[in-house]
Amino acid sequence: MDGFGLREGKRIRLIMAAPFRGPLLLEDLGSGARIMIGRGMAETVEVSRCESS
Amino acid sequence: MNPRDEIVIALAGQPNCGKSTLFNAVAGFKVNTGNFAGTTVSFTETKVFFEGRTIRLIDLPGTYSISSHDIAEKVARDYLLSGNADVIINVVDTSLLSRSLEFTIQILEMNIPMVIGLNMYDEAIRKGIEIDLAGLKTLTGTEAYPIIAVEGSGVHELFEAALRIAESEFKPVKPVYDRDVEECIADITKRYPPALRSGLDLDERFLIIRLLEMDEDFEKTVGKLDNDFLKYVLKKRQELAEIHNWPESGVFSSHRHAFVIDLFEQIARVSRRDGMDLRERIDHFIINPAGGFTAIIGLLLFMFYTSFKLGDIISGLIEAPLDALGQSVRGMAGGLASIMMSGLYDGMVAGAGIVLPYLIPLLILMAILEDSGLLPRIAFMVDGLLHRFGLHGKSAVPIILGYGCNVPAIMAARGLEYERDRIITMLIIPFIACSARTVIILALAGKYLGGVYTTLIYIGNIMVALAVSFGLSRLHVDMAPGIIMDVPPLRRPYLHLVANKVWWRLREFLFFAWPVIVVSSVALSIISYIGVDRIIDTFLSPVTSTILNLPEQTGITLFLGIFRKELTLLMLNQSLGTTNIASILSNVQIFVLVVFTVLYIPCVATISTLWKEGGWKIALYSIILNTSVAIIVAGSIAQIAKLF
Repeated sequence: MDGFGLREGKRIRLIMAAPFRGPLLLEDLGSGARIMIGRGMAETVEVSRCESS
Repeated sequence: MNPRDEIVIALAGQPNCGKSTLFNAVAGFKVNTGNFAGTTVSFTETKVFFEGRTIRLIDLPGTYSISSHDIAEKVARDYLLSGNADVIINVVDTSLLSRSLEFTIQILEMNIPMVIGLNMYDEAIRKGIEIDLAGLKTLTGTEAYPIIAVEGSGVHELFEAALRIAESEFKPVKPVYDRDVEECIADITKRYPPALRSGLDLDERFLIIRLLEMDEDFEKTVGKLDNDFLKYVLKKRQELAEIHNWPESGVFSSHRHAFVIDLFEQIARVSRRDGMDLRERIDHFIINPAGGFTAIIGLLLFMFYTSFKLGDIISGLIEAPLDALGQSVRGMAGGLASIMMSGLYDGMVAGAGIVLPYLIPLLILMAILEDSGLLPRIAFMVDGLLHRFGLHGKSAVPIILGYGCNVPAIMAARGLEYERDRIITMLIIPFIACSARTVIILALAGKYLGGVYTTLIYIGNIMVALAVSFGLSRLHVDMAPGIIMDVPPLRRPYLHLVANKVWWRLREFLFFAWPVIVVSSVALSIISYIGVDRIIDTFLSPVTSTILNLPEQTGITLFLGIFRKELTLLMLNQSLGTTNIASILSNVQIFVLVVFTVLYIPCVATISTLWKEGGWKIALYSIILNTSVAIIVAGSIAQIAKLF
């Protein structure tokens, strides 16, 4: 995940969840990159909700 | 020759930043490009002449960092470490600059002369990013040039700079990290053993950083040369992790990340904009489930329907003149000479009248699909579905590429990190109807059976591939690690790039496949004349006649199809002695023949690629698997149809 810029403290936005329990589409609010990440991998990441900017 | 007469320039950067597009802008269209990560899976080199100098230009596969994870990334890493490049052009996607700089800093740590190509500069401006180029040079010691590789803009200045840097002393400003990290590096440097200095031709600081980043390859190498030193580094790494309360695996990269963010904030100004533009609105429609599936199905139907319709029109236009020419050729001489002339004519006409009309529209549409950025979106939509059939979501991109040609699709499977996923994907791709088999579907099923049966063949083809994948995944049950993949913005395909790509692929047909077809056609005429075809027909008759319920003469055409799939269709006319297939074969037989042709043994080029990528066992496995599935599926249809 490091290579994709997903690391501790990163602010992300969930754009869409794919059907059939497919991946999540995230936007890295820092770089603007859009990354799809499988649910199994996403479940290993701890996230907290932050105020929308 | 003075070695400096030839400068080696390597293009390196993260996936989908435009390295291959830049390569093609300088060298002419020599490598495939596309708007998705993983288009380039091996390195390509070419010689170009620039301002009176010879440049050996290397296009490396994209990699997110020096720590490689898949085969393609390892190719890039090994090349960079080889020290063969005089200068590196670090191509970055400027619209994602903060992320791209992470790899830039890693190259800087390697101490290789470098210049930065800020590609997609126009997109960065659209996103509201302004770059302080002078600031970037001051803080990194590296020159940076804005470029738009698809338009060739800024490329000349970038290469001028690369040549200059290759021949002058490179003085990078190496990143300085937190005091704890620098003290750790300094302590390790004091103990740096002479065995490593003489045994490894690498920058000391770079090697220490690799060890602090838990680079397993370097740990093994260093462990062999001086295990005590390695133990000392591991102890220091553990101490560093404890001080920062971070896992060992991420402690150094976190420091680098912090450095990069700081660097980005110093050199870039970002002004946020509100609302969505048209591209973003289209994207928003495509990536929601209802819109996405509608778009995917609509797009695929449009692709195949347009290919068929355009092919039919072009084919119809040239049919009459070619027929007239055929009659005059056949009336020219007698005996074997006449047979050979007739074979030559049939081979020429087969390419011009049957393959090209269907192939060209399909190649145009595939090129547009690849350049638009739709492929990663399709992967996003179908990933969950593919997992249920034992495939990895990343398999979606190689599989869709398989509709163009199975050979690059199998090579694209290198992007899959796990061996199991890669092998299943490689074995599924030969089931996908490539452009050659699409021509057969359109020219036989489309022409004689109509749209419903043609669609049925495509849907059935996908279902068979998924069923095979499900079966293979049951043989080796394992948890796939899940997908992680960039989704680039939708981009407008450029007309000149689409045209170049179509010509690049068409050349393969014109200069390789077509001559093979012509020679095969002449050979078939000769072996028909001397009666060898009947031996092959008889040998294959247990499959063709007994199981598939087809005329024996189809045996030779199916045999020739192993060399080039188009040959099955083209030689069919010749072996049945008519261009009106429906006068010899019933609708059921045409359907069975098409289904069998789509599924059976991959062509020679595909088999050799499977051999190269997965070994001879995988190639053999694929031959047996495809042929067995083809006999079972097409044979079942033929036998069931016989009951009615």
